[in-house]
Amino acid sequence: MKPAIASRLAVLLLAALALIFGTGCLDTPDPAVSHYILKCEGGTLQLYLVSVSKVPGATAQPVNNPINGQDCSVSTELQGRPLTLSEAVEHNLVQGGFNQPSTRRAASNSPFSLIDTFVNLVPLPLGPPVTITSPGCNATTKAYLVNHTNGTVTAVGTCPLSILKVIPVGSNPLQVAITPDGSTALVTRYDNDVVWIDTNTDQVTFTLPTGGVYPSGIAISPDGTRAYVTNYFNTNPSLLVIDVVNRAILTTVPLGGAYPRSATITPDGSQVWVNYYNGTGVDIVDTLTLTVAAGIRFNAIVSTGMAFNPTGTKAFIATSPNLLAVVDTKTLNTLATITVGSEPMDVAVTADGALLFVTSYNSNIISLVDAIGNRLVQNLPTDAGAMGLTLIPAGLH
Amino acid sequence: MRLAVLVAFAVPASIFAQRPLVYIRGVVNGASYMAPGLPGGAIAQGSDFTIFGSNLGPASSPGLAFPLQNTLGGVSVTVSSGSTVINAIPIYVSPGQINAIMPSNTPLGLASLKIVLNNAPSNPVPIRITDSSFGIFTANSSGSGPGILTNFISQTQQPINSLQQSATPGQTLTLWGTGLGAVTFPDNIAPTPGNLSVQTEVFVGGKSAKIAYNGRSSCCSGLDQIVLEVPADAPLGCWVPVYVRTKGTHVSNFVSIALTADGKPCSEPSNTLPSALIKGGSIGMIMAARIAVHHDVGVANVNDTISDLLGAYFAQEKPGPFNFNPMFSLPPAGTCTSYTFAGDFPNSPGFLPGMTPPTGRVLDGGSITISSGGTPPANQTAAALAPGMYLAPLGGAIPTIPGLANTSFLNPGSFALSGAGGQDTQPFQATLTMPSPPSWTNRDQLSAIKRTQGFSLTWTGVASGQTVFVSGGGVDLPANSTGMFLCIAKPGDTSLTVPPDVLANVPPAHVRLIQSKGAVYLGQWPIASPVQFSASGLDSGLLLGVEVSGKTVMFQ
Repeated sequence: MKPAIASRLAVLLLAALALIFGTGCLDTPDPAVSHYILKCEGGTLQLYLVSVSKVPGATAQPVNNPINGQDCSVSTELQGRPLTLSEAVEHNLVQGGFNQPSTRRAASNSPFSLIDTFVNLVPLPLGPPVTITSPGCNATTKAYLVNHTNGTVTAVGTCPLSILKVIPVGSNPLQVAITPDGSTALVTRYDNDVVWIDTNTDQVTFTLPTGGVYPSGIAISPDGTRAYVTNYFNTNPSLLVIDVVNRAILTTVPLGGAYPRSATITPDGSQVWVNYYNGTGVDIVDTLTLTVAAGIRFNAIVSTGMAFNPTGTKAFIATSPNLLAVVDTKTLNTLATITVGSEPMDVAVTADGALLFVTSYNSNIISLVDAIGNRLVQNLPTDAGAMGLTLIPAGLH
Repeated sequence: MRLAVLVAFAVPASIFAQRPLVYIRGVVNGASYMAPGLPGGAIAQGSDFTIFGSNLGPASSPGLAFPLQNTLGGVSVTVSSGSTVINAIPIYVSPGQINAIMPSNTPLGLASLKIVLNNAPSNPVPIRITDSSFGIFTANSSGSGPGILTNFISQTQQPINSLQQSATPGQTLTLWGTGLGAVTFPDNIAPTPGNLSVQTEVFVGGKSAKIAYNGRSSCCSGLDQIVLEVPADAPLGCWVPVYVRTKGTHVSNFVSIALTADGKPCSEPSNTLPSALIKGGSIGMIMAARIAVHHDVGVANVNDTISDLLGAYFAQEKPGPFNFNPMFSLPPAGTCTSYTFAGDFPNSPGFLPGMTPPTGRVLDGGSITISSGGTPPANQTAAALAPGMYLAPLGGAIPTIPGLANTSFLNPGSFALSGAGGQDTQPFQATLTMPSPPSWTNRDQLSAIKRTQGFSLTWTGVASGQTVFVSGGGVDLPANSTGMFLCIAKPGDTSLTVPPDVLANVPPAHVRLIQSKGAVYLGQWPIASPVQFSASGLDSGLLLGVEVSGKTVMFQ
């Protein structure tokens, strides 16, 4: 007898409820949700965040921003009307722009993400399209956005969408990962350190200098005790192993290629998969012996995006120019290659392993892929090329 | 420096392809093959274990002689634990599989295993070493189904227990397996027989058996024998569950034996499903199932789902001593069995693990149409997914989510079934009645289930002629492992207790529930007397309407 599975309808609904982060996705801001407004006051500009709550009336709070104080003659087209977060980002009203490829990729197995949201129409194969007007919403879920150019990390509330805090972390932050208990965000800074942020207070609580290491990619073990950080350099490329609890570097694993970029950890924590800038390979580091256990080579440049299904039996690896490779993690053979958008960047798999999303930097689409059948389901339109991506659980298990 | 970068990526892929590759999670007990992520999936000191991978060894395995060596056919196996490196003893090598003995002095706990083939090292993989973790050998070499137990008749007559050579209560059996634990003599010489000190128990149909011997066999390194007496009150049947428990808590894989009152070929009078497996013949079995699940664990919003399915199986079976199909080879009423496997069960194709192809061949029964009453009637047609096998969704609903269409189909009532006929069968018609489901009276009290305590279900309203079953299990997603159980209630019972040993290899839920799955199901089906249909080309046609209620739970 075949027991009930989570209904396929529920699975697809979960996918539809996933909040996908891209740039400039909402066509018009809904006054019923938080938005920005740029006002001219006394001849100079001031940006406000308008937070809409259940209490009648909206509150507007000034947002510290480089545009504040500038002459009202600039950005006239943006003044006086509600702006979505994506528009604010797009016009650099809120930092975290989309033009630095290496900076804003969220760890694909992290619950946190960046930039903006849109609610998308996802046709259910078993029925007509459903518009989700009231997605599941957890007011305590936050996303963290790395702003490479101004040395900050933005804490973004997801329910409702709003900027909670802009946290200075130091110059050239690159990537962020969250501990499994959600208590700490670790941020890599190319300028030789790793920063701890307490996610309850959104304060920096510790900075770990890494000496001659240039931290870039980061992955945190499932038990939250270890962080694996790539040394984005061509001399002595390596993977740092960091004790997250005691905030210390434990050891360094030599890697075989220059500029190791992203690190992605398997769901069981037994391996860290590392890719390289402009490289065609992925190295697999065994976390028990801290050695490079195996490697996979492709006939294309591997992009930043890698993700595993929840059982760790498949790896999904984005490669240039427009492909997603599906790799059997047992045999290390490529099971399938799926055509997605141009220059795929980030990959995120739904919690049930049924679907995944792939952003593309050079096309205005996010690809929705059947992660079990290894086939493209649909390309979802966006307003601009998207980079980082994460999914927020909508409450269905 | 840039040149160095180019050189680094000029390494041909073929070099990586030729290195031995040990599959991640590919090191398992040599008898049970239990998934390493499950509680019983560790490798015992002194046991025979199996390594799966590719390019592991030569095409043929050299012969063996005592004393066994650390290298066989150019293959060596090392196990590293901290600074300690132990050489395991290979006893069989091939490109895809190695069997070896884990030395009795291997340190306990997490270790790293790798093999070296002709000086080429493999990747390292993590494994767990334990003091005892028993696996029972099985006739189908899968870790489930009929176990390798021999019926003692005389010193010269000890046939392997089978459907045709059953055992009787009170009879002495020898059970074969590996993983009782370490020995005090070297592992690479002929073993010295003698009871090992590890506490060892065997349960037959849930009844504790008397043990006469538990230790190494005299013939072979790493091979254990347990000599037991079948309990006098053990239930009879063709697939009576048997398992071994060591140290009071470590539970082996569950296997089955055939037990009768007289030692003759077994029978299953209360279960018509395996009739062809036992006697041979062609069978067509159609099952219409409603599975209603209450999801309230690990979710923000409670949901109820209804899934209506049509399944069918058309096959020619040949009689055989070790025929087994977990779908049909059920444990006796009043007992439970357990299945484990690598994978995420709800997302795996097919039914219960170990489902085997027919002993004969699949049959082409053509498409099957099911029609509900009403004007006009609603029809659904199912074509075979694979030869002889059908699984078609008929509809469903999630009533708790507004806006989703309700396409539920198998509402209580009558349905007409018709088979179009295929190359092996003629068309047929039959009528099926879907009964009202039983009422699971303590459903909402089951959320967190402590595996060490077991749990009970209570129900009312079982329709006449129905047999109640309880099933369920858990999935550890990061470890890609599933542990399941299946219990059959006695006729007339309104409660059933799932004992702790049956849950021992169900993986406990992660703190982050999203990394785990767990569910319990209560169902009824008319296995004793299903509706029968006739179709030329089939010796037996069975039609079952099945009602299942389920609930998500957390196994702890």
